[in-house]
Amino acid sequence: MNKRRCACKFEKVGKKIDLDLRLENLDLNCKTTWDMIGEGNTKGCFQLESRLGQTMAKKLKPTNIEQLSALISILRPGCLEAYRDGKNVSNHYIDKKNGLETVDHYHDSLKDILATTYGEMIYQEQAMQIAQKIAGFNLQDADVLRKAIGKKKADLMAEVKKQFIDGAKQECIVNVEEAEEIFGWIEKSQRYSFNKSHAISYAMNAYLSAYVKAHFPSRFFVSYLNFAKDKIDPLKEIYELVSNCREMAIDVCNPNFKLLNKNFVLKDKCIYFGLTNIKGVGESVFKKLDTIKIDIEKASYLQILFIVLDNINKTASKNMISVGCFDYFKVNRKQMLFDFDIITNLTKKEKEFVIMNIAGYENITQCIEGVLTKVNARRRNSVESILNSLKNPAYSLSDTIPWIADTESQLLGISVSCSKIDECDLNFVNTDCRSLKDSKSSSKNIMIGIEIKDVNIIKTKRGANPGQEMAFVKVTDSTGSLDAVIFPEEFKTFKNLLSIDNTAVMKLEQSKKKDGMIIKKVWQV
Amino acid sequence: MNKNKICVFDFETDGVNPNECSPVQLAAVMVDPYRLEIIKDSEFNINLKPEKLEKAKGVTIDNHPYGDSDILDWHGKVRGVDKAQILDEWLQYPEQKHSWQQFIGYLENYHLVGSGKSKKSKFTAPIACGYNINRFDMKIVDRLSEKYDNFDIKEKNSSIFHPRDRIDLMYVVGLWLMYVPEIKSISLDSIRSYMGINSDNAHDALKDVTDCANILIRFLKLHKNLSQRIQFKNCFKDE
Repeated sequence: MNKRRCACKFEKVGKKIDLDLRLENLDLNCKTTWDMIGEGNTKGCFQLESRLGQTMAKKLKPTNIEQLSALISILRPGCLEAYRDGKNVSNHYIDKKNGLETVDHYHDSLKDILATTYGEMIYQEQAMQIAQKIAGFNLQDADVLRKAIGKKKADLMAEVKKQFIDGAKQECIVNVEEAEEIFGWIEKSQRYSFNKSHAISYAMNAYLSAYVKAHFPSRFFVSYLNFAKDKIDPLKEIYELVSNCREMAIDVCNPNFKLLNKNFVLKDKCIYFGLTNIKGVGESVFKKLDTIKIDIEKASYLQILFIVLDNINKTASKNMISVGCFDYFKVNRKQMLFDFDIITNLTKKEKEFVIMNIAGYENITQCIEGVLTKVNARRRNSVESILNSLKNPAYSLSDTIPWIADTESQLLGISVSCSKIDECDLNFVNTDCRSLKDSKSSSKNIMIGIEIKDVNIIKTKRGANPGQEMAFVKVTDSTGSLDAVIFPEEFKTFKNLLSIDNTAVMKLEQSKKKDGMIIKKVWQV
Repeated sequence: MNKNKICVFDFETDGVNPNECSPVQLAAVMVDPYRLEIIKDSEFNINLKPEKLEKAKGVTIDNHPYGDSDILDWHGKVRGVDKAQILDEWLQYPEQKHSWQQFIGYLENYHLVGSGKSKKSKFTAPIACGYNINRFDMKIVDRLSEKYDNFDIKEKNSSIFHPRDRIDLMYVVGLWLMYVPEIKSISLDSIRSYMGINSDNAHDALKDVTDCANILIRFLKLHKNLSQRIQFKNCFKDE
């Protein structure tokens, strides 16, 4: 069991809630939890958080631990790569469970052993049970078989096969040909079968994490977001988790300097980014902030600029301003960045002069005018230039939506305040990402305004003209994100618009199986 | 393919030699490469005190560092004021260092950033664009960049713009209009006149960059339209 990944989080989440989250007391029939798993909303759920895990959970829609355990087993590479009749074992299992494929058990005598997995041999334990029943293996012999399967030892398998056939002859439940066929099947299964005891314990933990996510989503996400930094690509992880929060209507807010929280924190039902979650703001900056003797709650705009930001590294200061840490001053971020640049032009003595008289100044212009009264003739020209820049900025200091969206995406991993698409004219749009995921929209004429986040171009293998380009596209808006596919004909027409970061309106259609979205048209906005 | 924003910029200067003159005005606008339009609120316009005036003392209209040069007269003529007023205004302009710093701050706001992108660098910087920038404006950019530490020593050019991509609109216009017999000159004034662009306030840097940006957008739209129709892939294969 990977403690860091799983148990720690539960412990942290369980601290302040009056609920016993011990596995033995868990309600294993919670409809909310099973529904959430069945919707594929399993980001952050143990063993099911990958995109494949989410897709398979949606397809299988497990409703008990046995099925969840099977789901975790068929998600492994062995099952996915083991093909039979042109379909992999994972899909055989899913189709059988969903009644799309007939369940057979090879031989009637195996029915009770294979019934729980719809006739598929998913677990190593099933091979052991079959060996016990058909070939009269004792537990020790069966364990040798399990080892041979688990360790994939060919020489040991050959020995066990002989013992299996001999045993089957003595037991007389199946004839020799059938015994050989069954053993052949066991042999093939060694490529993919999984240890059931592992699978069940994984399933229990997967269910527990899903249960917490379903019932205490805010707490779940706060803890999980705090582990994002341990991932290979922390910003991508934050992006996926925050998108998931939005889909579940959980508010996520920009970092707020007043909270002075190092990591993600839950406050007033909203998850706030921590200061160290901003790119370029590390532990050392946070420690430095701790040493600055100032009451952050009451600090004025000028105090923050001259006493706090001027004493930490420039990149960290600029990044904190850029992501809206100081939005509570109701000053545009670009204006604050501009003011910060202005004060970096002052000398140390000039800054000290301002700090000494800071209570008497209402704005930065007054500060510079104050400095101007104290400087010598040589310095006067420079300070006048600074004042001139301040009074006549060369460019607009208003925050535009694309600038905020891009800056937050780069420094936080996701744009929290807005989406680039928010500034576009979207009169003809009739849904958003969250509504689509909740299936609140009709399946035809879906018009959605989005920003393109990822385009994965592949070549078709089947169809009339294999080798044509098509793409999987990840799109986003301020309510969440969505995966869609665009097929060759449409891809050829619209590929010029499918660039990462571009904003567009898309006409989507639900796939026939209703398990995905198909892009039919794209317009530049 | 990522598309960096395009910064159309222009200097007005106190001389004609880009290796020696000082800028007195710097203007810029940003073009969105997706929407093919000038980005809202992206206008930049600043004056810079010429270096000659920063160093000189006791400057008057009878005693100024431009000597016999007619540069003050030229600016006066363009603006419709006398040269004494031009000199007086230039003396009041903010120091070059502070104005340049504002331009750097402005460009930083238009880097190609977003999720999954690498941190800000010269490769995320806007693409430089302007009229005759290769022979004139970029030389000034490189000089000021070197002076104020925005210089890439390895590449031997400024690090404030994208190091590879650069659009000199005069080349673009020149190529497209090469076979148009009535075009006798490809100066911005001639092109403005040929294309029917109002020439009021011409040689004001902000007016020039806005005109240039609009010309660029026309060409980019044309380019986009054509490139979607022309079969470039394997076009040499059967030759």
